[in-house]
Amino acid sequence: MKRELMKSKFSYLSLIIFLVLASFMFLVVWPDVHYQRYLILLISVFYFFWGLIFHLKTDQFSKKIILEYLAISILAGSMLFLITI
Amino acid sequence: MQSLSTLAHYFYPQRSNNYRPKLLHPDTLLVLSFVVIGFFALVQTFRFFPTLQSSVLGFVSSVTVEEVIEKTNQERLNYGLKPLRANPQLSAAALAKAQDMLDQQYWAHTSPSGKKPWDFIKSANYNYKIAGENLARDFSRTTDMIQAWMASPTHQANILNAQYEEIGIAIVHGRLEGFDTALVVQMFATPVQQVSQLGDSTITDSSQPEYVTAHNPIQAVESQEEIITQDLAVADSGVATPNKGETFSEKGFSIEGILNVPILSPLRITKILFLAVIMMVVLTLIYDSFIIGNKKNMRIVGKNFGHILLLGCVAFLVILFRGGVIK
Repeated sequence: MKRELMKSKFSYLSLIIFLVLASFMFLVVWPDVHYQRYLILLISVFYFFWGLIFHLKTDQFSKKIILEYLAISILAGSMLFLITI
Repeated sequence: MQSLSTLAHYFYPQRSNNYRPKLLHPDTLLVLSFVVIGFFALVQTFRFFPTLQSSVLGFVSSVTVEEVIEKTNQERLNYGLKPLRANPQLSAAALAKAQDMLDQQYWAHTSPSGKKPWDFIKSANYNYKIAGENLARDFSRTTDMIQAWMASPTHQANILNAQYEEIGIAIVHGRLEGFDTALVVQMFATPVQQVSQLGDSTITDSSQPEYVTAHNPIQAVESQEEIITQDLAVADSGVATPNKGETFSEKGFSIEGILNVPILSPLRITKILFLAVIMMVVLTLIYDSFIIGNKKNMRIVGKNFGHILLLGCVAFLVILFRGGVIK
């Protein structure tokens, strides 16, 4: 995993920066759940496309990859969304 | 033996699952999403079974009048404003409003029958020059509630309104829209005579009071004990308030501090389940990375580290998410 991380450090760095900023914003906009839900959508969509772009760059792209990132994004998004209801 | 192989199929990368734990397959992750949604729906349906809900799920709040007053005044002091004084009549008005919300099952400044906060204040025989109201529900801690108000420009404007001099607070537990909750009603006002004592030449007739939108801040009470123990019932107003130790159980709710039944709140039980799901998936991802790293198998799958980062972020937000609604 370490080798994998070093090979794609900028991709992971961009993801980490995005997630940190999004988390910070999620907490800052509280108690406005509407903004929080926009952020949840943003996190899910960003991660989905981040995954696709990552795999496109590394030529490891397939239909299964699309489905996997879609499923993970839906799982993460649905948990965050439901907690705000 | 069969169950062990099933377990391995779901958590261990092997030939049967194409060297990727079945739990991490897209279809299983989607099923997991539906399980999460289904569980959440199940928790929501508890509202249709009041007996079951009160014995298993409920809402526990540590919000107290004393703390609300103290923290509100602290906010005012931070901005160089005078602390607010508690007024029993305003407290009675606030309690009547809370009772009305539970009786008529609404969550708004104006009741379905068109009754406004000012009507409750007037019913409590309180003549005011300026008045307002802040509402909150589902907060388990006073600090969170005050932070939420301060984060909202309109509510903050009420809390930091220099024109207010008195405050009335009511905290009641009850069932609103099917769920146990704690309602906080804060009413603020400045009495007419108070303004005239200050020599304010712009005093308006009490029959034509100034309203400060629908939100108003909470004020500090010199003695919370006084709020509870005083006879807050206002003659001819129909505003009945309990003395210390009394409850509104016959009306389906109780005053703050009386109901101490702690159970799992729907939010807490939801958080627990979501964190369990996240932990299961993250541990499987870590285990998968470890096993495949040692075997050096070639496979085209999603990046485990990316998934771990995302789910770690979700876990962080689920843990730190604070419930509570203000109006």
